[in-house]
Amino acid sequence: MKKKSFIFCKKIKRLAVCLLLGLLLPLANAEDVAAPPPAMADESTGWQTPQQQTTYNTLINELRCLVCQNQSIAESGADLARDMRTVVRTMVAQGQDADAIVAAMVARYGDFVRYQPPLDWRTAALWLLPFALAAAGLWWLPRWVRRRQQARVRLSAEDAAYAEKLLKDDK
Amino acid sequence: MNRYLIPAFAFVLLAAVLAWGLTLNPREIPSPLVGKPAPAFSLPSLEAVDAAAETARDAISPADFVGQVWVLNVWASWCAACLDEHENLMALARTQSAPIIGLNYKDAADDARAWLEKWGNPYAVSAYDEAGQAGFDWGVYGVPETFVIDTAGVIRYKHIGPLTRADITSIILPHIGKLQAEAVQ
Repeated sequence: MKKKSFIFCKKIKRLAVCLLLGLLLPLANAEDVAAPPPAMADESTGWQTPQQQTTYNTLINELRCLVCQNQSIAESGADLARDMRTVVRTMVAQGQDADAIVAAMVARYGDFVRYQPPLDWRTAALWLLPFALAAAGLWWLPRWVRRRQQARVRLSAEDAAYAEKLLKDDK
Repeated sequence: MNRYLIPAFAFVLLAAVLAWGLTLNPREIPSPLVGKPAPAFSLPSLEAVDAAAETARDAISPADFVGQVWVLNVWASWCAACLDEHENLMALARTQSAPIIGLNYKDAADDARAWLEKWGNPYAVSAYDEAGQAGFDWGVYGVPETFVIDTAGVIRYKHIGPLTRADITSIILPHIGKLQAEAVQ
């Protein structure tokens, strides 16, 4: 009986490791997303400093196109996205910092234009719900496992002996 | 019994939220400009844009309309939805309740003038925004868009997409009336 629960514990550990890896996966992908798409290469030349290039590439991936919604202005082929890239490009070339450029976009198009909206009462659910769900899951998981374990223990001695016999016969 | 009650309740709740979500129009993004002063611009009128002399290009600016309730309609000859709302915009112009100022957005002047010639001109005047800079400042992302501006030069309402007859009678005209009444008090 003890051995069985030990195996079960190992299973839980494996599950926990899988969950953790699953949580870390998006972080690993984040770097891929920040890379400029090849289609925009023609627009990404002629910067005075590498820093400007980086700012530009980061911003066009963080700003959201209002026409092709769910695409960043870097990904979108819409005319508006091209115009917005031009504006970002001009402002970066003028030496404005990323915050000022995002603020200028938000002043015209609203928080919708940002893929990372600020935390306020309207976006509280968006920001906090994943953590709340993860916390609820972490609270619930050990309880669920324990209940399952107890269900296993409830096997009568007679049944256990029978099962053992069956397993032995199998070998 | 209880173990089915909670998932069932969760399902109904989720279904209700999703059903409500389906009634929303994802293209209607609330504008941060409502309640803010109309962004300034100085643009030539569509008629005068080709005039040789610099002085003949009479500049249009939102400041010119302070003291009256006015409507800014963003349009272009290449915009199919603008033709859909055109008839309704003509009807709004005929009511003479407020001047409609056109913002001709990223268009060719000849095409734009031909378009007005062909279909009729509901605008008191059209500002010619070839580069789209004024459009950007006004947060334009889809033509047509319509703004209602009060006597103090503050944007009070923004409509995205073509105006229907119902939009004119039940939203735009009441807004104009309300803002004019506000100004008299």
